[in-house]
Amino acid sequence: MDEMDLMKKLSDVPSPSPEAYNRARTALQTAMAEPAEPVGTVVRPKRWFSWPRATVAAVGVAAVAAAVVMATTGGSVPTGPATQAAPPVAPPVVESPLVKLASEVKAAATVQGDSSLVIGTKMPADLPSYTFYSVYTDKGQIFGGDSTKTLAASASKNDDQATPYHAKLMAAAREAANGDLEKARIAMITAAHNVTGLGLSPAEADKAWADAQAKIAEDFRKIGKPAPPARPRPEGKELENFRNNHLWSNATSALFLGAANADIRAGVLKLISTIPDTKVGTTEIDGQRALTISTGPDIQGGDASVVLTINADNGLPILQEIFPAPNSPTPSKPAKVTYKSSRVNLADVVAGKI
Amino acid sequence: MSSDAELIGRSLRGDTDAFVEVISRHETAIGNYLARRVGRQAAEDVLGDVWVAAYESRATYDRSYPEARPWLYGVALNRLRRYWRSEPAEEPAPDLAGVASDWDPWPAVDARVDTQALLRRALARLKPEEREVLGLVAWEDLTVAEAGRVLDIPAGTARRLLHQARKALREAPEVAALLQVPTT
Repeated sequence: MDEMDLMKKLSDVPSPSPEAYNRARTALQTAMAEPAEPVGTVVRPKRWFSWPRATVAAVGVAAVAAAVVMATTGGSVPTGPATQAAPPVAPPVVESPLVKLASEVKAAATVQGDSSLVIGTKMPADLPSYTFYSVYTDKGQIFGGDSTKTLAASASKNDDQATPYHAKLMAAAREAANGDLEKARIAMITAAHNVTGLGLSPAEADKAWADAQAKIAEDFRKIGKPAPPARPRPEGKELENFRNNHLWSNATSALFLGAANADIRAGVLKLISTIPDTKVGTTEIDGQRALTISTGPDIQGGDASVVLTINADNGLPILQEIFPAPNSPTPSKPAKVTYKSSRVNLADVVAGKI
Repeated sequence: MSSDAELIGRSLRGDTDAFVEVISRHETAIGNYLARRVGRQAAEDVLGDVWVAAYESRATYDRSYPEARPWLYGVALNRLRRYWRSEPAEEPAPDLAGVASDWDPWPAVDARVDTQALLRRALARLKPEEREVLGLVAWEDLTVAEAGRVLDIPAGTARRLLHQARKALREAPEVAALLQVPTT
């Protein structure tokens, strides 16, 4: 026996189900019949629900994802008059460490380099660890790879992976850093879609929700599954949690793509500071002073709590941890991702000199 | 029977059924490939994206290759890269530092050790490109040249990466110990 024989012992895994193959074929058939948005623009609110459990084919677009969210989260719907207006932003406390840090990030911004490089490392329990490189240029391009070599190849081929969704994320973060925080908050929450009608008139909000419900029903029908019953638009605290989930998910997505861009980083910190249910603590990690930003299951869809650890002096992300919610019937699995961020020159990325 | 290349050519002329036929030939292999890398649930989530991405990029297929499976592995790998980068980590993730430091190989290994866990530890320390070539050859039964085609690298480079990967595995304490004891 040699190492290759040992390797083969790892080759047996549970295959995708026959239903999954059917769904994948349906996605292909749909794409062939009516070319839709580029796959890269499929965006869903992360951490709010288990995408596989939603059993929607990959043709689903953002609005569908949101509708699935509401179809799966359950819970009572508070009664009372609907309100479509944006709820007032919880004003960042003047002394909020995140707002203070955001100001320091802006003040300390340098012009070094022309791109942000973020290196993340995930390590699933049953699989090898995975390191991924993301470069976000100051011009808005996004290149990626799982090694400096594949990253260089992506950049040299100009394989720009930025989508309109990414552009919206980054614009919202910049607006938060340099402009109107309320406007930025709405833009970040609605970067993927606006099925809850944030900032819309009551009639427009009703239509947005109804359209999303109709779309998800259509997509379920396409894959031969019964459509879930339409749900009323969330209200009250459920609506607030829903929107804060989107704010957290989209803002942290921006951070993990463009952390070494001072505007992006400062804007994300200010945006996160507007989520009332986050808790900021202090810690030390690898000799660095750090802040922990904790969000509970209410913001994370019920199945997990998330703690983001950032450097207390420069705001750069260090660690993201996901903890299963003890009271959830379907708790998320624990997870950990480490991040290292730096300013780089795109030319050096292309040359493999990072 | 038409080759994959011929079917892709027909699909480019509007015969969508021809492309479905290509997918039908390879869907199990690609599905299992995805499952090995991201687990069954995520594989099911990504599979449709792979077919759509393959369909949308079929014009770039080099039809001098009759067999499309290596190309489909490449498309799948690209989707995985985007998946890994964009998705939150929802899978268990042990502390990286712990993996590297807590291994005291020789006295601990006996016939009852968990072969898979030990091998995974060793695999985790390989370079990504080494691991990918190794997986394509060992798990997907591709030739080294085909693995190179998947990764868009020359066959000679793939061969060197496989050599490095196998050498690193052999020399990893966990694997060296496993190769010297009977496993159950």
